[in-house]
Amino acid sequence: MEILNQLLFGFSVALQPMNLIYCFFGVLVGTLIGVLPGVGPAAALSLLLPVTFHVPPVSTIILLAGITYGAMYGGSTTSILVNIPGEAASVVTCLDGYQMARNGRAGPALGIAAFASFIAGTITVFILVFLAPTLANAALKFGPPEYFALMVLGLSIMVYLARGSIINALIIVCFGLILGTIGLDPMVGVPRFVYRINTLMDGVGLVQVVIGLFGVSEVLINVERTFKQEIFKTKVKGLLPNRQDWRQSIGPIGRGSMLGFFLGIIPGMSVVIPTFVSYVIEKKLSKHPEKFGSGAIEGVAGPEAANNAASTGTLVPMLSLGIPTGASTALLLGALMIHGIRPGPLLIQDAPEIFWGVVASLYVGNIMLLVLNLPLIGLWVKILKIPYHFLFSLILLLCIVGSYITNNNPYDVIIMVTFGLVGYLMKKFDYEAAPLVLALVLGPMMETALRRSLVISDGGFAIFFTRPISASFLIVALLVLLSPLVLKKKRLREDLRAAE
Amino acid sequence: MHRKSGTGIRVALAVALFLLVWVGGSQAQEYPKGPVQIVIPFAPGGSTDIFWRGISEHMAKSVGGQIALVNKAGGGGIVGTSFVVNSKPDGYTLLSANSDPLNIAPLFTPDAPYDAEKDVTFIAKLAVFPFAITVRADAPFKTLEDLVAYAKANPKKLKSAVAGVGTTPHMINEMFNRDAKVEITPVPFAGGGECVPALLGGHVDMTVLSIAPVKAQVLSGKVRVLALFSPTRFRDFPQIPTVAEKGYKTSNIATGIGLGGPKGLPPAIVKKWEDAAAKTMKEPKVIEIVDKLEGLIIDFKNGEGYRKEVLTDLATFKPIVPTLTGKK
Repeated sequence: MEILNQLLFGFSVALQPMNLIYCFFGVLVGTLIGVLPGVGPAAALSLLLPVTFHVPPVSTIILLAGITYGAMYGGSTTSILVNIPGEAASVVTCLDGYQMARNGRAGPALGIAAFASFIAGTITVFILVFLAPTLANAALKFGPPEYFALMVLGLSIMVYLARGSIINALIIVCFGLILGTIGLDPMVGVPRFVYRINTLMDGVGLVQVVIGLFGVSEVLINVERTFKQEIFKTKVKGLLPNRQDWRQSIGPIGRGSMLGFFLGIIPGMSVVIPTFVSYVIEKKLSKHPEKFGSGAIEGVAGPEAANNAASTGTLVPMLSLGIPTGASTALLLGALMIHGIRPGPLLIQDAPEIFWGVVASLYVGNIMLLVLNLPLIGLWVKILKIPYHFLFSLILLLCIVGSYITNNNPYDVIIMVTFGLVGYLMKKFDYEAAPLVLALVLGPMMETALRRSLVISDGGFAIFFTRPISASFLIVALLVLLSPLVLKKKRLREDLRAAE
Repeated sequence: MHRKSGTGIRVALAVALFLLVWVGGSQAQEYPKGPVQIVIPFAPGGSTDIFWRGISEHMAKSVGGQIALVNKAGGGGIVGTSFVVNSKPDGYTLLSANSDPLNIAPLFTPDAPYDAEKDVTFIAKLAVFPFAITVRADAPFKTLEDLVAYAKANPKKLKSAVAGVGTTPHMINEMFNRDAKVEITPVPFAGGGECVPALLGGHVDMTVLSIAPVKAQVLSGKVRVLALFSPTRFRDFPQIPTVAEKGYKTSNIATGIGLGGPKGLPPAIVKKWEDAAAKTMKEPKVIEIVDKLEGLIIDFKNGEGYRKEVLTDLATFKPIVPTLTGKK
């Protein structure tokens, strides 16, 4: 009851007109930032930081958190419309979202992405309120061995991402893992495969790879084909998800929210991984897994819920322990500290209006995001009616601008273009891009986790099996890998019986 | 119809331009005539980025012009630093001259694209990030002496989280090993944000970390700071000694953050910025902001002083790096 009272108090703070305006502004800027590929929320937060010195602290965090959320949502817009993930976290949304748009269902895809984000936001804000301190402490149990085991599990489910040939998917995974080794060795500092190109010291940029693989390659493939834009023109039917869509999406949204939130809490876990895991789970659970990749709405709903939930999750370690888990949260922390407020275990006691105001404004921000984005859907969908020769030039321009402004580094554009060509060839020869992105995210994390664990254990591999969380992840990974063998035999037997 | 449908993308492009060029009005005068670009060689959200965003307004006022902060991250600061080093020395492209891309990162890079001694104009040192040896509150070590005694008795047993390979805390850890004749194993994590959970979760025994992320944990009683690597004691922890006070002088190093430019910068421009920096770092408002950011200590030095300091550390680190990367 006490918590509810405080939450109401929080709402009274968040609903003050000035704070509502800040919230709206944050969400709006965030959406635009998200729509632009390459510009992450961190860049926008950083630009606005000096402005917030002149704004009261509650409003500051409302504004900045609004940007983070808006970006998560905005990222899905370009994924669905033109196959460019606005953020790495929206890569998975491309898989089915873009196919839905091609089938004339861009409206429902955008709609379900907005609703999924909203529902995920609602659910996770409540978990945040009731469980934040407990969860933050539990997340600390995740040390390097646990990360490693989790990454192994992540890799083992990756083959389920594949739509076509599993062998091709595995080849691409290996390619992604190899790409992940480029750069300064994370443990001893020896440069690997850098070829004296300083840009490669940090590895191949994820954003550049993603923009190239998805955006540029899609343009190249389409230019090659005879233009069939009628598909988009004639069949834009319905701007909102219908009842059937809702029935299919509600389960994925619920699961995606939980998954995203709990993975988001773990420090160092990226927002990217939960979206992939959500997609794979939905594909496994679906009654029609064959539809995934050709416009299944569940493949949009789950991951979109997961990425929003994960960005709420990342606030848990910051608000309850004062630990920033990424660039965006570090900027939020910096903004608060300049106002003399230190997030951490004492925040709830020392500055209740901040803590509860923030929590309430997260919720208000989600509502605002929905209000803002539903009317925009009509506008976004019209973009698809732009003649291809204009649209493609615009997409390429966006890709180039996006890959450049991440670091203001021209080499990044070269990397992006290179991966555009790689992506084109991969499409030509029927290799999928999504497993490559996941491998590129997982690979470096897995490597550092493995090597950190071994430094900590003085070289002993037992550390992975003696720690309960790590051991159970490894067992699950093993089961996942072996299960097709058992299931396949069973299915074969059933088929035989049916034939008799 | 088409005009209307392009609105979204046009708005998006407008935002892109707005992000690319953050320019205010400029005043007619000698120098600076337009906005001066200060390149931050790190990503948005890092401590250096937040520091500059905090003080740039005041710095701009002191110099009487406009400042545009531009992040050019990559290669541990090498990409942004080399961009400035290779730009025209007209005073319109300056550098957030952090000490690590000048005296550490080049040692890890084959054919580093610049030489801190020859290619950089040092304008001023503004502040330092001090580092701290931190352990969990339930650890048996109460003082630095306890820790050193344990490390001596158990070589390689202590594991220390550091914020990445080739960073100042990584070098400090190695320097301290040599200074105190111990073997504490550094475990590189991706940034300070990962070191704190690793320490709190009990996955490592200690961490060499900048103060900002540690302070909240100190206040809530979860960790204990044993010693600082810093030119002076820290205002908020007056009881905590620096390692130099404990007799470990050579490892008492902190990351410097300063202002620099390409070589051949006209002396008049250098002087103008040096004076502006000196004035800015004395302003009460700036002192307040830096205090609130918590990880920093203002440590103003003129260009020559900063240059000497960076080059001295470079000479110290040079023989250590090959032993780490295995290229003896």
